[in-house]
Amino acid sequence: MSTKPKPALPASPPPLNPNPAQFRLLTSATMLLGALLTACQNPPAPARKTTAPLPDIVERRVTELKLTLPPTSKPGPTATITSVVVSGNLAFVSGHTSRSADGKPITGRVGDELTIAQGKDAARQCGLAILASLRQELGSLDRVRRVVKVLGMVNCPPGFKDQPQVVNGCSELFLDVFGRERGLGARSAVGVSSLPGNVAVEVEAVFEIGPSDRAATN
Amino acid sequence: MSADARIAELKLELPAAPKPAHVYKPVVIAGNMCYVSGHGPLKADKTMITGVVGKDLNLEQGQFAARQCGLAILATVRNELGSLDRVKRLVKTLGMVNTAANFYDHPKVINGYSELMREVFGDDAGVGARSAVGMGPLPGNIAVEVECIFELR
Repeated sequence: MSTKPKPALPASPPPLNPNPAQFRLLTSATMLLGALLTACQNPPAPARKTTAPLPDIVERRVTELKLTLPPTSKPGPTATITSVVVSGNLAFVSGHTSRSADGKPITGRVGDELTIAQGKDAARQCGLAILASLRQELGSLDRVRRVVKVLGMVNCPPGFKDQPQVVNGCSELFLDVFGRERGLGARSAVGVSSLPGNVAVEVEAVFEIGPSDRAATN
Repeated sequence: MSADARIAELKLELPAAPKPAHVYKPVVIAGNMCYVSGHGPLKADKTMITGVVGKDLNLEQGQFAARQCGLAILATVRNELGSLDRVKRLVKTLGMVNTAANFYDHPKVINGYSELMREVFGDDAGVGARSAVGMGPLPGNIAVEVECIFELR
């Protein structure tokens, strides 16, 4: 009996994630500052772990980036869905559709009526709406430990191949807001045949969260 | 009221839990989370409701199909857990509608499923996060497919 050799697994593909050049710049500036400070101190302070929790930094980032989060809608008593469900340390966020700052839906098929750039902007708007719902549910975005998973769905014609570039609009926003350690999660970016109200993009996401201040002090 | 008692009160007839035809499990439990595979609109005669919503099927027929997906999910979960009373809450749903290109009422279609969950599990525990989107085509040209996550006690 001959034993078949195990099929070789392919190398893990590089993630189709946004280029974090901007964040890298910020990180190197911080590191330089940190190095200078460390050099001035005696004895040198221990290096700060980048994986350590960074309290109260997210809301500050939202202010720094001058992001305007759109208004949220609180579902009525007859609603069949809710924007966010918290279960344990995970927050499950419903699909948020692309709306411009004035609340109007951004509609049309990307690669047909809309360009990739317009689709990317639509995905970013989905991300802003997700942040608004999260903040409403959690009280503060500082409770977010990390982005776990994003499903970005792009309304596009058959043959369209640039869904990842489009969904990067949302992923780059999360990267800007939460930083590289916490802002990059697992992701799927897919094309769908149609979306509610013919919106261009819909994004749903899962976040890991920490305890609320009240729970933490109890 | 318990979910099993609600099923009896509403006189809901759950279909036989569908057996997976391909390489997947109908339910995977990880910790206290219960991940349910995509379920199609199973009819009492064990066939599926097929067709494109907005073309072959109208909105009401699409809603009925989504409700049948929900009944199939309840059957699977009860079969797996022994009782629906182990469900603490509905967490998240992805509702996929096989639609014509110019059909945009996916949320209304998936409400057929969501209203069933609310009837069975209540106004809080039965209402979860959700995405409702158009997918086309779906396996076997089924009208609707729904996957979801429950939190267990």
